[in-house]
Amino acid sequence: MKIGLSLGSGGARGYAHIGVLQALEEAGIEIELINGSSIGAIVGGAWALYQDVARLIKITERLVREADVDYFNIFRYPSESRPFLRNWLVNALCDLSALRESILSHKDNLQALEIIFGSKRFCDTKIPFSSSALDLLAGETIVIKEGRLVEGVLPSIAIPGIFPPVERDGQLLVDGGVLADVPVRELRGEGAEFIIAVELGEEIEKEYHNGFDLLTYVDALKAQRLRQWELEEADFLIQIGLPDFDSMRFDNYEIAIVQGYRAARQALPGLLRRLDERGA
Amino acid sequence: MSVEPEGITLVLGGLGVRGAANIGVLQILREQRVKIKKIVATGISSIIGAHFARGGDLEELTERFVHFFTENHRYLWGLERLGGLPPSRGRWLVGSLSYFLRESLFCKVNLKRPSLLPWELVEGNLKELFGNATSSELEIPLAISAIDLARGEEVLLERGRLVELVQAGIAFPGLFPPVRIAGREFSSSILYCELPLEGLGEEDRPIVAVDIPGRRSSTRPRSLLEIIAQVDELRRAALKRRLLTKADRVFCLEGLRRFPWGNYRRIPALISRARGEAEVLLSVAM
Repeated sequence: MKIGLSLGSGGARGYAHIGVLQALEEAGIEIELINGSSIGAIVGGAWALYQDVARLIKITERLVREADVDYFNIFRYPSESRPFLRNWLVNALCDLSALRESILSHKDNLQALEIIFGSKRFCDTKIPFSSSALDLLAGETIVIKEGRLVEGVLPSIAIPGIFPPVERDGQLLVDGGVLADVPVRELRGEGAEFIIAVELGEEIEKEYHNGFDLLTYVDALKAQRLRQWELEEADFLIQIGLPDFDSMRFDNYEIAIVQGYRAARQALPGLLRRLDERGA
Repeated sequence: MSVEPEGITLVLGGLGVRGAANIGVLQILREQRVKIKKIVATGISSIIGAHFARGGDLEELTERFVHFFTENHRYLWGLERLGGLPPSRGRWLVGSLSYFLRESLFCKVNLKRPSLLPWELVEGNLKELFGNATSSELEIPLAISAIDLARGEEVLLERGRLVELVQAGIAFPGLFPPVRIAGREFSSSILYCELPLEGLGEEDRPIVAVDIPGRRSSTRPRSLLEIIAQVDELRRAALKRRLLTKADRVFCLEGLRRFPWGNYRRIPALISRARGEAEVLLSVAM
């Protein structure tokens, strides 16, 4: 039975995937194919390429040190900066960006992906890996599994509005997490017979002070509903709770890795039982 | 459908003023004496559904809508084009600038407040339409879909004062403030999903949903706002696609695809077009 691992999106929370991989490796569960959306595509791709958790942690350390992955400091919460200045800055940025395609460019992303994947290609990975992205023109999630890894993972992390969409073979691609937060269906399509899904579920912010908060709230509900449907199709689900973890703080990786490891360890007995039932 | 002696459950939605198309559909259903055992609605269709369920006159409702939007154009001008840029390529720069100025100014001023519009704007009309009537006075049972903000889930509101139920249905997040009913706060579920099919069960069958599909955006989005709008549209479409599988029959008003959700000045044209389409769809169904 082919066991596949599908890694979800969730910004910096995605470091938790590394902890999950460690726990699965220790338990001797052999993953035969892997995919992911957004940060899930980065970790999934790196795992498929190196199959070595220690190396993944080293790369993470190097990323934090060398690449400017702290993209989101402009969106930090008011407690961390003067609210007025922050709001003014965000507004000014959004205004300037409204006529462009995004607030930021892919420059830092590309630098980070180069550090992780170098010039390696999808065909170089030790197990089949695919990244998922949303094609804005066709309106559907697509699977990328050919070419250079850097170019194949980039579309999957192009958060709409923040980074520009990526053009590839006549498609206009953005973050796969938009419609496939944990791309379970896509992995099934790749031939996985038993899918372990890893969800980095984020608590929905239920407080609202203005119209913008409410719109964001409803959008989060939509994303949650779509995610639930997709997860129902997984054979086993590992949920990682990271309360109070800021998805935008890419320098906080240790906490996420440890939490991912813990959650996966806790889920292991259930997972082994389920695998046993399915005759693996 | 004429062979449904128990009647059908009719599910109505439609984003923005596009929902007004349901007036045309209901006119046809009434003329053809299709028995309706329950109406489930959200968005502007909450008003239409409630009015219809009381046996109200649909012509009068159309006039009321037209009158309301003409009277209040000075408050609503920004909404008119939030639906997106006109597709004409030639006027890209002018179009973008005008879009940017209108939407940026409109949103900036308004999204910092709890809502764009106050309830006072519509309260008079709702009172005139529904007075103090409650759900128990309806000829056809009605369920309004809304989001329970404290729990973060979609609920069906079936009992209470009609004015309040309808308000919960049209409390578009960001447009109107949430409505407080019996200590709980509600927003419209229309931005969550256009067609409230989720809470329906076996006893509601046969379920007939009226789908007013959105524009297929196969053109390349050119600005950040367009990209975000397209992503939002795709998410809503994905939710709707899945939920529509719960309906036994879908009346899909294909001809209304290009009608922008904010275009409130063409409501009569929208309704008459929907009427024409519904007539054809119903004759096929029967």
